Amino acid sequence: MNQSYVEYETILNSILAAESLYPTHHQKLDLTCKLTGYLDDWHFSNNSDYRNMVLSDGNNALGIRSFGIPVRLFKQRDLMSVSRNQIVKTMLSSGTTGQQKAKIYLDKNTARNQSLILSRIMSDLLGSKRLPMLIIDSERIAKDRTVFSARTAGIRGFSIFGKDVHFALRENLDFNKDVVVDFFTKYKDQPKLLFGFTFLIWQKFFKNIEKLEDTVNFEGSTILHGGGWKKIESEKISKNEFKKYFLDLSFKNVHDYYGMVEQTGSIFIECEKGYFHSNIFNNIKVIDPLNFKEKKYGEAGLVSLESIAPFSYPGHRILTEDIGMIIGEDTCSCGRGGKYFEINGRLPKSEIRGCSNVIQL
Amino acid sequence: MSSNFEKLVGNHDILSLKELNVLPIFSESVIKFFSDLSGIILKDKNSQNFPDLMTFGFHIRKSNINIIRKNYSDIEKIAYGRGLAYHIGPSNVPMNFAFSLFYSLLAGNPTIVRLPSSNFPQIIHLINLINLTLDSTEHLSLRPYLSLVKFDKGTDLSAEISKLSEVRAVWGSDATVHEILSHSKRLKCKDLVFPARLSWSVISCKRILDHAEHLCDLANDFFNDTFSMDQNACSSPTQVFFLRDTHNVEKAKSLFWRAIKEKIISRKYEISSSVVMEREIASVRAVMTSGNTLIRRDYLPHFHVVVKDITASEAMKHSVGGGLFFENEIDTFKCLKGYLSDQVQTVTTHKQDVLSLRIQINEACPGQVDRVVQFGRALDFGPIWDGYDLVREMSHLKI
Repeated sequence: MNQSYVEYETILNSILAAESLYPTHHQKLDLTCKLTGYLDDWHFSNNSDYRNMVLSDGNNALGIRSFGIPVRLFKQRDLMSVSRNQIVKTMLSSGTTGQQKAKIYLDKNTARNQSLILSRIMSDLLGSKRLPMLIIDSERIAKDRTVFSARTAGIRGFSIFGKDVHFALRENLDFNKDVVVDFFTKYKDQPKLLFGFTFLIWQKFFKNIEKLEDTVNFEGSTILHGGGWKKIESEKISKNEFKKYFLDLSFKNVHDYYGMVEQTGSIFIECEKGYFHSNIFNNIKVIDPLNFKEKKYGEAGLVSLESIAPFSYPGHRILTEDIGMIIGEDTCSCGRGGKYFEINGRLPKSEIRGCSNVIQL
Repeated sequence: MSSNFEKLVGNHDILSLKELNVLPIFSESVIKFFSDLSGIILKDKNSQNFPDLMTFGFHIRKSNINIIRKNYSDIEKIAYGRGLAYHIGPSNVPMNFAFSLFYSLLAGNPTIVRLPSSNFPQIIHLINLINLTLDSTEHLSLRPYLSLVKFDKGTDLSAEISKLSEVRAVWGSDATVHEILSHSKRLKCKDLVFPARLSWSVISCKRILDHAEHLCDLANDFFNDTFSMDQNACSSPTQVFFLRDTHNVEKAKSLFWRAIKEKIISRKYEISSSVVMEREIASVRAVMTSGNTLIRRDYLPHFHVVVKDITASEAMKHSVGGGLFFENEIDTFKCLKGYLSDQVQTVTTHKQDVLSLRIQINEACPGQVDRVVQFGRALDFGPIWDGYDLVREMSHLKI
């Protein structure tokens, strides 16, 4: 095994074993920042694309080192920092037909570390025992091996944290009342996990379970949802309203999560106060989209993410096209340490404007 | 016929254009039509919001047509349109379709133009003005000769029109050009293709330093060449070569870029964060493939400069418009040879250097570059474009 990987793994193991998943700024400097710096060197030495990018910042050093590779380049370049024969799995991002997909190259170690990191985050949220699980999607999507989608990947990745998995939607995505009623009856008064994409939970699940309120007891249920709000933008439902609707039906917790396929594993979980939190495995910066300088807390900008998981590919720092805002660090009233933030949407697509935008002289 | 078919101007029965007689080149009815349209465009208040539409309005005025016409006195008595002409306008430069239409009708062809799908406001406005002009009884006889339409890609309408056409003029990406050319055509059909191209600027560092106090005009010309079309026009410079004709090259480069930045600010050019992001992604992609490069972000958000020894073909792969420049240095004009390909369309330079640069480029690489013009003239459309003499190409001789 590569000597460098051994050094990396030693630090990673200490991080996995750390008592708190949400350390404060000072606690985090020791291990997380050290390992991120280690990955900077590793990818610089082992990936020429990454090295060329870093060197192209010259002496001006506005900080490309610190905000990372624009995520779209994972679609356009084959980025890996280990030799191709070590790659055991290539993850592809979702993408509509005709669009290029991101290709994420995993070696055995990186694939395993992603799972270890996700397990650590999930056990902090749910406890170490696996819970009965209701997936708000159809079984067909979960099993579909012909079309790789973010939904399929998400369901498969998260379903290992549940047991006796039920699917709340039929093949045509209609609500399956029988399954849902059975599930809540069978696990009445027990802790249970509901997982799915935000828009499906809202459109296909919530709108149907409202009617069941008198017959079904939802107590003990934790909802984990992700995938973003874009598809239900037109319904003008706020994050807080979404949460409140479920809590009013006696659900125990509702957590959104935020993550990118380029940094699978080290996801950001939404706290009870409604903010995403960075944890011991990741970090967030907000960048001014006009000059690429770091923004202050409380100012919206482009989201740049760090993760200590990517070893076989240079995804430890990525520049997303999401717009977000860091609220603060170590001061969230939920009690967790780390930066807490919100995601406000995506950078709009650029459009050709012709030349009507110029003042004539 | 496609359900998304939209007819906007002129002849409603587009297939009937095929049955029309061709016209002689520079026919009186065509000249009268454009001359009237020019008057309507230039007098209209709303037109003034669109500099590119105003430029078109000036280009088609009667006096300019007469200047163009002088170059065709040798064939004027014997040249006629070839027949039905099918033009596909580009999606990046709104007014190009109008120039294409103008030269096609001057050449005497009944003309169908497929407009870009985006709803550019200047196109909508021009369509209204063309309709207004055609409404006059004076132009009743010309009305059947033009048809401006919009329809979705992927319908078989393009193939149908192709089969009937005697001229096809295709502006667009390489993919669009290939797609249209793949349709079967008449044996005598003439194809004029205008695929994506790249343009250069060649700048003398000595001239910059000599005129360091007066860079405003140069910057204004460069701005017009580039930013008036968001750097989307093929003739807008993307690659910038600085000639090492002085010791202080770095100072000259910095003076030049600073002057451009100041011009962008003073002209109140709007910059969106998504355009900056597109440039950033393209810049990083461009530097990833080799070492010894630099991305200058000093001029953000106004523009990105990628310092890289890069050929025209490679620069073209990364060009995204909106203010992304590839900067390079050369010792003499002759060194440009190493960077050239037939993808280079326009080279802009200082007025005083145009002739010598044109001669040296043509000596070094005969026939590769279409035009060498002075700063400020990159976007000037002319009767010769992309190496085609448009009127001659779209007409034929009857003796």
